[in-house]
Amino acid sequence: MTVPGSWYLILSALLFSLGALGFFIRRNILIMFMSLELMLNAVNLTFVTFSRMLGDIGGQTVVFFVLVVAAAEVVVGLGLIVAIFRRRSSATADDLSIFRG
Amino acid sequence: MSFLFAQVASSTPIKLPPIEYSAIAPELIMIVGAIVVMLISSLVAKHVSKATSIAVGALVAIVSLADSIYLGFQSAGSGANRAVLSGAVALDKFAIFFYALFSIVALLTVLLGRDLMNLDRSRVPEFVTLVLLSTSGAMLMASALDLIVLFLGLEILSIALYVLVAIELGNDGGRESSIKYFMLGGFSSAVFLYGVALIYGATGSTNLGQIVSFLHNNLLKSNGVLLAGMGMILVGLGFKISAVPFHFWAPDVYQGAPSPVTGFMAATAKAAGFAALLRVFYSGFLPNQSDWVPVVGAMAVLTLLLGAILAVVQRDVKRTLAYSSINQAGFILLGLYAASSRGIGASLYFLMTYSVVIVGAFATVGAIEKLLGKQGIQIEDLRGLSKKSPFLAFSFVVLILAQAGAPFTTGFLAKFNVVLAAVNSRHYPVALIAMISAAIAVFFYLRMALLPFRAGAEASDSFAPSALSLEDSQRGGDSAVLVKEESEVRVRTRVDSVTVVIGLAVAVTVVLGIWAGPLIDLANRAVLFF
Repeated sequence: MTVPGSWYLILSALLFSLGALGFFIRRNILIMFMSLELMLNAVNLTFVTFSRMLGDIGGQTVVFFVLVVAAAEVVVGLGLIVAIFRRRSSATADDLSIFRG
Repeated sequence: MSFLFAQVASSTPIKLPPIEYSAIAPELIMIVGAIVVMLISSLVAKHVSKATSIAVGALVAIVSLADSIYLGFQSAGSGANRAVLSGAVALDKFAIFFYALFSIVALLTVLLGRDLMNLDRSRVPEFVTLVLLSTSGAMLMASALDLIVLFLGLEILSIALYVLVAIELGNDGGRESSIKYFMLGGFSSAVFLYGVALIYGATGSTNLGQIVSFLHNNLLKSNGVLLAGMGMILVGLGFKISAVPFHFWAPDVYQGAPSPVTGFMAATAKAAGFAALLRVFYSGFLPNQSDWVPVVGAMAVLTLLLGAILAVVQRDVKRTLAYSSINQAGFILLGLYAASSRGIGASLYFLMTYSVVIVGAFATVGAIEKLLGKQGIQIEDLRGLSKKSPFLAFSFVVLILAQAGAPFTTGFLAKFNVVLAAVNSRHYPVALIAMISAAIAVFFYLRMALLPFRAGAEASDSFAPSALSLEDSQRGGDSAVLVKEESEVRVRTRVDSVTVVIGLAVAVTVVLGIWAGPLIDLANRAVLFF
């Protein structure tokens, strides 16, 4: 039995939407950050699926670039999160309220 | 071990594609320069003063600028725009134009690092390194012919910027701005990347050259995947250029970041986003013009109106400038909306002049913050500025009026050209809205521009003692006037390189506003794509 490529595309679209949803409705910075990673991995799945469907290796090499970039983003992101929440008890986005208007 | 080696050696050699390093030399100079600054500071840290690392950074930016000018002459001679690095990067006048622009902005920003950034000696090299790295990413964005290379450039630019915003120790506002910028920037990158994936699925390639030939040869009917991909790329880049409705991060980040970083971000990130937007849409998706032009038009209208209206109600100077920058993005979008080579040329001219103006404007804001001794200034604080520092007041007014589009500054021609381009493409309603928005904007620009010359007796008197240095008070200036003059002189001698940057920005804005031909000509010739 072969799974048609469109199923993977639908799955990755769902994962991406879940990530976006989580990004907007969750208030904990770390969970928001995880949602971001979920979105990036959904993109990776899309690339691999298209690569397979098109018979083109290009899409799979893209995944490596995306993984590296995501890792670099995690390094900076976690560093920032630690820097800003070291002196606070919780890591929620609602605490970030110096600027308004 | 020897067996393994023999096998590898006997197999067919890997064919490496030819790499034309000279085509990406400005990027390479920036990256190598950044590494050198980092190495110097970590190997011989004790002997490196703030000024040394700044000087090295400035030198790197100057070399990169010289190389872009050399590339420009070379391409003017041979005339050919071409794709290099297996078609992943373009070497055309458009890219070279942006190489020069980013080098200039990097140079101006680096020079501000010593006096306007609140950094100790060991952190100044980090500032320089990050500015140079971020600039290399922006350059890569402007020259990328492949959407993945574009994405890499975007991330190099953005990740360095996230850190730059938070670089000042003990600046909680900067950290909060940084994390907001980081989360929304990461989100926009992910959306952009999903757009790239969908484009890849619809056209079979991430290379702009192949995408455009595919779209030329195949008429796609009701292709939702392609449209979704284009839309998501527009959203992702819309965040970077802070176009409405993707602008909401901009005011917070502009306000919280240290002033030189804000100026750098407003110039480089915006120009890089526009470079990518212009190249991807005007060059890559040109066959599907009818799909994206109305969307860009709607975005331009929203950006123009919202930016101008929201700026009117602000009290903080940097926040006002942030909304003003959103408003300006609307004008630059008009050039893309016109979808003509004239429109692109107008956008490029706008970007070049606006970048210089905004770096100068935020440098001035930083210098005023330093003069008044506080972080974040309200518009009311500007009252009586001309008494405290005539130079800063004058520069501030010129740079603000240039953003308003006053005649005899570059801002006037910039706005005039994009509106003209929209009119030439028969987009009369949008051109009219642009003019209305410019009129609304004049209100808040004039409010900021007039205040420094209003008398602010109370404010200036109460300010004077706090700005006194210890030695001044020990010397015991009898009259307040004398003391004030002394503190002024102190400030002026200390912010030397800042004065140079502000002076340069003002001079460029006024001189090129009057003697405008060459730069407009340059911008119009830079629009040639591969």
